[in-house]
Amino acid sequence: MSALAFETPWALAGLLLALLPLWRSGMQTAAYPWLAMLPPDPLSQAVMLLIRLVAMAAIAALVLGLSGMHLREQSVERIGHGAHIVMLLDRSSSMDNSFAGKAPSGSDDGRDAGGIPKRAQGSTQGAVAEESKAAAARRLLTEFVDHRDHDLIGIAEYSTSPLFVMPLTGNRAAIHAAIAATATPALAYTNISKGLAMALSFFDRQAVQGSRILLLVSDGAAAIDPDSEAALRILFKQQQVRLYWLFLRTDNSPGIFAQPDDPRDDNAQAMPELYLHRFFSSLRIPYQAYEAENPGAMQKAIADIDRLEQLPLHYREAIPKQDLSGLCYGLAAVLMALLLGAKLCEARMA
Amino acid sequence: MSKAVPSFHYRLAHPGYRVFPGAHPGQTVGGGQLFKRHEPLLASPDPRRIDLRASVLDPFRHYRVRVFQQHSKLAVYVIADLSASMRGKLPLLADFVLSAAQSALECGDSFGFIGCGPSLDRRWLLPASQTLQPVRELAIRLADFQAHGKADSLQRAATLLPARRSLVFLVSDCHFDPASLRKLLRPLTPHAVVPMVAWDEAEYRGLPEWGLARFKDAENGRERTLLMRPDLKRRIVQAFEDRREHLRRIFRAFGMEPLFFSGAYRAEAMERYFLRHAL
Repeated sequence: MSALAFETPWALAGLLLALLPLWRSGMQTAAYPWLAMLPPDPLSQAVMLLIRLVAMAAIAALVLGLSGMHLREQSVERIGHGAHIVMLLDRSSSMDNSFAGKAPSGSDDGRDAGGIPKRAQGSTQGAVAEESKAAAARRLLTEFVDHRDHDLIGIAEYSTSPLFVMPLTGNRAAIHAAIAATATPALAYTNISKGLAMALSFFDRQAVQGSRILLLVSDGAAAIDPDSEAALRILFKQQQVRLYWLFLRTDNSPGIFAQPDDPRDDNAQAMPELYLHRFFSSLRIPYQAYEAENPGAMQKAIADIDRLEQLPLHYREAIPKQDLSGLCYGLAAVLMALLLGAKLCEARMA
Repeated sequence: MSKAVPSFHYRLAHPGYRVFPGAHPGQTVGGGQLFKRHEPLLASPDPRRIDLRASVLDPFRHYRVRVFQQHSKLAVYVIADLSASMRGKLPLLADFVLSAAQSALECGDSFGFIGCGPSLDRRWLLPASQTLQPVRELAIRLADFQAHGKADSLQRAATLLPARRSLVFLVSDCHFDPASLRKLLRPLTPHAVVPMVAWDEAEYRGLPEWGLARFKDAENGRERTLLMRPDLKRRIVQAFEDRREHLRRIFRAFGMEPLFFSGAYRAEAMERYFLRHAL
């Protein structure tokens, strides 16, 4: 049990006190002329031994409680089906708009969407147009996370600069909270190259096992300058990730696959989505782009990923430090209650 | 001290040979009422007791003198166990010592006391005498004496007794093993011994029926806890009854009849004892 630890180990010296019941009984003694006259009684001996043990255990439990016994944080190795997923979420201000490119209206402002997926889903049928892209992403990602029990999921966001939200972790509550945190109003622009770099950095110092997925959720793209492009190429190669791009297309905006009508528009500034798609395709890594024009399409894309990424995965589950002193005190209280009962059973001698 | 102590009467069937006149039938020839035999005048030159009829009938024509058996004095000793186990019984012992001394002095016998603690202590030794005051002082000291240790010196008590047959009251609770009891009794056989076993009812009948009870041996300090219940108490009482029978057998093997005491001292019990048993 190397996991046992103590807050104040010197208090363990008090364990010596547990030997006290061996030569002090705490009972009122009556003088007796000759003990040899009393017949041997195994039951009495057993009861006395029990009382002694209970007293020793009570003292030991008290001392262990005083010394702050606890179980150290531990990690348990588990095997499951899943992946290491880093979600890279777009936090540019356009994400707060609906798929129609308008500000979301009505009560469904996205604030409740992340926390209560069921209700939000119910409202999806009636008010598709009202839901913001961020809210839809939040809701669907929450559902996605709920399905994936064994995944390690990390979250990064980007806007003008990348935001480190949550490293790869198996802690569902933390992931949910991180996703829900995107309910805060979005920020300014789109700086996708730095966001990608940060998302890829999440895989540093992680064993390569299962599949590594980078899930990019964005509603637009930006041009990547050549320096960043070269750096990203190397990073993508190093980290061996699969890339899924969930593109939330606003109505009337150019999609990923749209070819320019005018050759003059065929540049990264005019059609950043197309160029980003071309860049990703040229990386020679498994890459899949989904273009979603409404929450339903987005749900289909996520279900797709959910189905595809089910490789066996070793992962370690962290068990937090457990304070055992309360248990010790409880045990000591029970034992002392027993002793008190024994004390009350003491016969009154004349 | 004003408390009146009842005395008791004791008698000995076979008193020893003692020169001093007293109240008990002796073997000494002297001034007494009981005719013993005829002797020649030369052997016992007392012309007042010439028996004319016997002299006439004497074929050798000698003067025959009647001699009488003289009642002789007796030494009464109390040998007391002053071990720690006797602590609760010392008031009884003090009462008994006073009563025995008074009874002895009433019929002109001398009284002595030998108290045996871990060693023979001068404080608890009283040579046979005919004064009551030292015995009174001794009884007062005895009543509030805090005894401790074992009564190892009991084995040496016999050496302090006179060689002549005396009446010895051996007061003890006999809470020691039978071997040392036998070793103690063997040198006492020349005397008329009355073993008095003092037990306290609280030691067995007075124990509680239920509950945890912790006992500490008065002599070796060992401790024991018992979970008292009616069955166990019955076994303890039975153990004491068995012990009583065992002790009686040991004493009888030495020609002594034990007298069991508990509670307060009663002189009537002594009277009854001496009426029943001739020593």
